[in-house]
Amino acid sequence: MKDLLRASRVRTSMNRRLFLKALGLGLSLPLVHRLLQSASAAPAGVPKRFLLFYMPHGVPTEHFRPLVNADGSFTLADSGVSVLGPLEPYKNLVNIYQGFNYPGASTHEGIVKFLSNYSGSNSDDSSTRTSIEHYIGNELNSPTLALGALPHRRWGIDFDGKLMWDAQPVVPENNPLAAFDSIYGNFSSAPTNDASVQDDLFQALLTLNEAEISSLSKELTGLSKQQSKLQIHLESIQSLRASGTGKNLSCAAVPEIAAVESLRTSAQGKPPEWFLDENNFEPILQAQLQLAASALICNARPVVALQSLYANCEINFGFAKASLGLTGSENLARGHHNGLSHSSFQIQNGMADMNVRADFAWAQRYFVQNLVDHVIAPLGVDDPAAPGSTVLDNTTILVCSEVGDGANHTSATSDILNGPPPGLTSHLALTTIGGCGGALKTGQVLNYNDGEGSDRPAGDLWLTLAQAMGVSTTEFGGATNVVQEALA
Amino acid sequence: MKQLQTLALLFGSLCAFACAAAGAGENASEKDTAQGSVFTNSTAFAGDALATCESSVVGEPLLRRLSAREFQASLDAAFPSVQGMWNSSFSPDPISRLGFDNEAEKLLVSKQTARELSETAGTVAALVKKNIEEILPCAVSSADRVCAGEYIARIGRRLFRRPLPLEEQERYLQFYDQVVTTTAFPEAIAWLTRALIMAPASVYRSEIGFVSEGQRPLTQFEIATALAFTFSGAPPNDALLDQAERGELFEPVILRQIAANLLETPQGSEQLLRFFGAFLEYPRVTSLSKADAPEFQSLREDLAAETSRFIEAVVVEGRGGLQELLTDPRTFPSQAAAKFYGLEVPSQDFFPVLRPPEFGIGVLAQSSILATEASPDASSPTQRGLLVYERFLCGIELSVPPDIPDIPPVIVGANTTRERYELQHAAAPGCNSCHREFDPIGFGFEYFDALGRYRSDEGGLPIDSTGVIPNTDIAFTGQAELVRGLASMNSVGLCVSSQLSTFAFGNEAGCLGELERMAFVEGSIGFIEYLASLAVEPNFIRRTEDGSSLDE
Repeated sequence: MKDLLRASRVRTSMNRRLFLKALGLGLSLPLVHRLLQSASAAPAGVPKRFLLFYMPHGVPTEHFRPLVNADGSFTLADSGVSVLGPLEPYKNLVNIYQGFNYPGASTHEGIVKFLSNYSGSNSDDSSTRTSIEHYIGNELNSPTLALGALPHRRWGIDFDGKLMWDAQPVVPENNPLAAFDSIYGNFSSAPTNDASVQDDLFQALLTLNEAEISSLSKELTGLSKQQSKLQIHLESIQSLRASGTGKNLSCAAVPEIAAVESLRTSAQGKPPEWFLDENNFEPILQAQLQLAASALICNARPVVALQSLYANCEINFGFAKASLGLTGSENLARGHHNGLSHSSFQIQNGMADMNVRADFAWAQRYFVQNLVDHVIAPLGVDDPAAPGSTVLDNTTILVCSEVGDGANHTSATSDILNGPPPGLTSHLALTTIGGCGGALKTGQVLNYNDGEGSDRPAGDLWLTLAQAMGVSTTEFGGATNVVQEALA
Repeated sequence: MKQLQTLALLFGSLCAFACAAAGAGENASEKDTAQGSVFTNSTAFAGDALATCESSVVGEPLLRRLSAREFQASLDAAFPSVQGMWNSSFSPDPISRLGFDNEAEKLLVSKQTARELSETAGTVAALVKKNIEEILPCAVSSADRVCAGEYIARIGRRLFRRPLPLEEQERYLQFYDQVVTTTAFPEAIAWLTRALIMAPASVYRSEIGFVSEGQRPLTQFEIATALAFTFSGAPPNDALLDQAERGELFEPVILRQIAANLLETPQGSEQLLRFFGAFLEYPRVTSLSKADAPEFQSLREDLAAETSRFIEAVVVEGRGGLQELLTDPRTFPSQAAAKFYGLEVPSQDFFPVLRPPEFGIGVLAQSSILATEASPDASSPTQRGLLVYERFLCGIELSVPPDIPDIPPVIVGANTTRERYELQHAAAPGCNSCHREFDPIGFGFEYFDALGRYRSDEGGLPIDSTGVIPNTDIAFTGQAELVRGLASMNSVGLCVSSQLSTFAFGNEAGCLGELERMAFVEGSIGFIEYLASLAVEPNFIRRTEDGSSLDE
């Protein structure tokens, strides 16, 4: 009921609320004004944005599934705890994808296999592969902004943290202050002579650097493995050259982002490890979410990825109870991985026991709720580059996890509760929110499992999203079949 | 390579967890926690790790990208006057199968690394510009090409860890010439700084050498660099570079002495602890939470510090080897941890106390390790057994099938952990084909609960900590007998020494560190001595010409 009331409010007061949301995000009045002004100067065509949002270790299916009516309509808020409940007001822009799998996975190895449609081992760092968010960014010549909140263990990146790849593993930026500087540090409203000189000198620096690498490589004739390293190095420098130093912001001024500014105070003088301390997870997550939203709204970084936690993170999730407004007997003060996500599904009187995994469901709903509060709602602001539509209309937010069912580590559709209806089938947790500039047909639950154990490869969906984003390709990671029903 | 003996564990065939297929359940949590180490590819590891060779071999030439930590140390050494005034932009490095962050083949300059390299170089360059009067005094008196040349020669030597030939200096001077036409001198020096920091000679440790009579002797400066990074985690200082310039880094006795001296420094101790942190994984405790034990949150940093102090005392100060590491009866808790864990409270934090006999001995009684290798709410014979199996016995790597169901929950007082595991694993052939290799070891630790705290019973039920180390006839009752049994096994010494060699050389190739390996295995030298002995291995001073390995 609460969600329905909220939906009503959303419909009746969207413009005012979104304007205030934009302010709450930290976009100053002049900036909002500039955003509106810049609409007339925007290039032709709708500027599309993409956000990958990862939440760890699957979902409890019985609390996640949409309830689909005979006419195809569905509700997201009537499934136990309803992990996807916060999306109910936005369901016209939501697609739920079912009946997908990824190849040859072994539990958390799925992290890399899933998003790259790569079937090899994730212990193999030598094979080139690219996950979908970086592929889209590269193809659109807009390097992906990779953010993280506790995205890896303190002492390095191991398999459990290697979600994103761009030929090599990508380590998300875990410090929102550093990420902010990376996005807005060199911001200027118009190129200056000095900026032009700086860019020329940077290009000259890269020319020297490339020559040094090539020269060293020639000295290593006959040592092909070492030359291969230098070739990767050279290509990385060339990529740096292509990205240049300039920024292409539509914002007139650097936004002040509330959660980032709050961190400036709390993190002042703290060592880098502070940003990998479990106790700071929530303010960091919220800062990264708001930062992602600002990057999308300002079109500063149209392709963003946010990895919240690494796969096996045992963060004590007790903090989330207050954040979710829970006051009952819910026990979230357990490790997220073993303590919550591994809680076993149980059957009671032939039906799913809705209590046994409610705590895990609340933990996963926490991620969705924060995504809604700090990204989806703020993206409802009018898109300056596409009058009459919102940024959310022109964005695709992909919410996913590396396994389907948390306790069972499923990488494909799996029947958990056999027998008479309603039954219970676990799917990979795949949801998109946003219209992708009209390229996606939304408000659908699409299920491709044939009921006999056969799924579609997730690569089909990645290819579809890439095409929807405007990437001219007919193949991604070996997948060549588009999910036609998802396209408008 | 002539292998004299291979003490590989005797597995009839490569086993893969097949609990799901067998209808029983390997605890997914255990499998997950161990992933990235044991449960990766189904490639045999034991053969190489436990093999001994007639003599040491020479490995392949390598370019070793500096790890993030090494690069930070390199920049600090090159620009000491701005040390602490900047934050590195470098992301953490990839961790190897054995847990190390310095494996040569994994350290590449990816697109992300290049971007971070550029950002870091820009940050440091800005500070150089700001402090140019201190860093480059001639910038005040004669800001010209000669002054720039002086800067290139001086800073370049530190960053490249070798002098720059005139031709190389000239290339950077030409870049200076280009820059200074459009900027002021301090700005031009800043751009030069960026160029020098980003240069491949700065980014990579060269272990390439030069071709001579079918091999590649390493240059004096390459040897100096290897000594410094291997034994202190930092670049060579001016004194060591001077020794290289004088050609003094050939005599084994000198190389070994330098290695030993470096290991004696605080940086050397830190380097040693990096090895043990990766080898034993105890720093993981600092990110864990335990069910119904809120005190654990405030103690977990203390537990990691306790283990570090134990290792320093036993390995560095006591010059101990495997025997001492595994069986020393002391520990070094904080006062708070001692109270919580029921130990004698030391007079100061991290001072030594003796463990009561029932509290176990050695490093494998450390609460940091026992709590890490456990579930949030229960001990885990599988995780604890796997740590020993993988890191002390070098058991073959295992594959885990997907879709493994969870193990039933703990019911206090109904059955013991051992009973639950034996029911789930030993009684299910599909599970037992692998679990029989490590679960029995894990049962030896059953007197320690999920927090690594001693317990005399489990929910009122008696504890059975008896067993036999798989593939041996070594029987044990309890942790102390188990680890004494492990300490008596040559294969344990071979396994651990192979990991020390891998850590030192950044390379998993076998037989690189044979000269004093058996002395370490037999206990006549300790960790410090064995590590220092690697400085006189053939691979430390030369490589093969074409990248293949070569018997000595």
